[in-house]
Amino acid sequence: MAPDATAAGGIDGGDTSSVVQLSSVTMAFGGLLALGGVDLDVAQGQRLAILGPNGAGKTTLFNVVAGDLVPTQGSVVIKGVDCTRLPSRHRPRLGVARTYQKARSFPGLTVADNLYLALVGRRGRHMSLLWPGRVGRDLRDRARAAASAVWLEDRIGMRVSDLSHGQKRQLEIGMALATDPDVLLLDEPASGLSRGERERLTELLEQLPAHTTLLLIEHDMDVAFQVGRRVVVMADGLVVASGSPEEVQANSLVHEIYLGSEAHT
Amino acid sequence: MVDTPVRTSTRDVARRLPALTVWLVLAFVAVWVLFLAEGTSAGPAVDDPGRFVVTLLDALTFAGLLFVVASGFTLIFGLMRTVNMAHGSLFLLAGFTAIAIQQSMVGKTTNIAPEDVSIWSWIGPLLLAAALVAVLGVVMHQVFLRWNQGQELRQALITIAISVILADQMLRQFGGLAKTMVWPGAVSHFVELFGERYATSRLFMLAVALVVGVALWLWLTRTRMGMVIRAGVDDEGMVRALGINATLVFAVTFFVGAFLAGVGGVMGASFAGAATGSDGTWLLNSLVVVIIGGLGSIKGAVAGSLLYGTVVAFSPAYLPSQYTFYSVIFSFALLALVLAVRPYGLFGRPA
Repeated sequence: MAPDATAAGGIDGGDTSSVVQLSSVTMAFGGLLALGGVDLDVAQGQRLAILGPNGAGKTTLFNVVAGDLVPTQGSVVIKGVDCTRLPSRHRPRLGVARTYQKARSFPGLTVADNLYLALVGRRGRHMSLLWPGRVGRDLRDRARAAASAVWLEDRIGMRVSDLSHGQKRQLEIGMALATDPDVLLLDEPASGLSRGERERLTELLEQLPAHTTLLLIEHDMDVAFQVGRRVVVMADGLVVASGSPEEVQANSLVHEIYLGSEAHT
Repeated sequence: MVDTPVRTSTRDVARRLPALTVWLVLAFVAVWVLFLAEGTSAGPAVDDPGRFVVTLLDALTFAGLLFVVASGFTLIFGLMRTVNMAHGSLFLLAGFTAIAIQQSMVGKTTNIAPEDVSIWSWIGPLLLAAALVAVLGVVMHQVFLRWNQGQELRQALITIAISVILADQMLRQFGGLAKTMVWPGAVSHFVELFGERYATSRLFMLAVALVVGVALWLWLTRTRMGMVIRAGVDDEGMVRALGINATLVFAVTFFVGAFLAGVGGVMGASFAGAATGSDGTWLLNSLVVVIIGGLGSIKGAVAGSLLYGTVVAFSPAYLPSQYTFYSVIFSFALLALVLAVRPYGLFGRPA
């Protein structure tokens, strides 16, 4: 793990060191090759949008970064630590937070409790599950702050099962943001949101602290191109284009495989 | 214009048919118990209110014992989706162990009179025996079940194997004769209720069950650990994704679930004795309660215990005398009725 870390620092140098570094990551499910050797370097504070048609391997890529899947080949280095085989529960302590394509939270618990648990995962020591004490009260205050950051302060006592779809999305992003993550992975956060809610989401993502590295999978072009400073296009498990939003929009290959395929559907 | 409302109302009736059936059955049972139950061992409740109150107390106290045992079962299932088929064995093992401890505390192995038993020589063995089976439960989970997480069938088979081995070893160690845990002298009286004598020990059993229930409720709703467990019931994978140490939570939950089986086992050994075979009976009792109430729900365990306890206490008392041996059928009639209306149990959710 140490050589990787120094190599990353050495190549990029200075303050733009890689936070997430994937080297020829391959993911095979039986005979199906979901990722066919992906190389990706994401610098600290970068806002990266990942585009691609359905089945391009975007979510699989997220699952590899988040530790839900162990890649068949290749390595995953996060903040200089080789995480290729590290289980997903160690990610929050490294400062990685993610949301899922289908919103996941705890429907039987209140908004406040959901946010609180997200904080427990990042900050809490194992045994503090048994004896919360003062740490618990501190986390309660931070959970309240996290709720107002995603405009849910007046819903804080409500059970999540009573929230609307958009509010559940807000909560999920709130849970990810509450931990003040260094790496934030958002899987289609705008799906199923109304126009107004999408604008709110964009605003929220543009206000992220400068040190937060964002990886965003998004089908909504407005959100993706407005938030993303760098865009990566995937197709059939490979990165086929990478660059600024303008460069990617001008890329003819991207038009053919992605925007072209969208025109057909 | 005219036939539309008629058609809707027919459909309405059809949709509500299961619920209507339940209400009709309940109304009939109430009328039967109150006025019509001539020729039964208890007689109509309006003629013999004392007998009715006693039967009701029997139902409540038995429900208390059912709840203690079944809540442990449902707690483990709710969080880990593990159907612990060795739950009854833990119950019986705690009963036998507590009896052995009580005998050594009192200094006699036979003819222990309630006066010999102080309250501590009942609670002491209870806590020790329950703690012992709780540790055994944790070992079982760590050694056999943990690496089969999510493989429900395998876990069920493993726990069945453990229960068979435990049953054999208990037979070897404690023999095949029923033994009884002796209630402490302080609660071995009778009280006068509506002209009927009622055993204080049964009321004491209900009190213990209430203490257990309240403690469990406080733990689950007022502590951080309880919050994590409730979250895990909703989405266990997400708990892990948040970085919470689910392994620790699982171990603690298994400890508590097995501890509750142990507490129930000691109560059961005092109430009805501990004997080979009651491990299977109590596994079945737990299953019936949690299937009625909904797997994984503590509220469901309360409701299931009350319903099942009521049926078990009332059916022999209020069936015509020559048919009392059919009373067992009513437990399963209850099961069928509940599942017809709510297939996942009263408080259950689809897995």
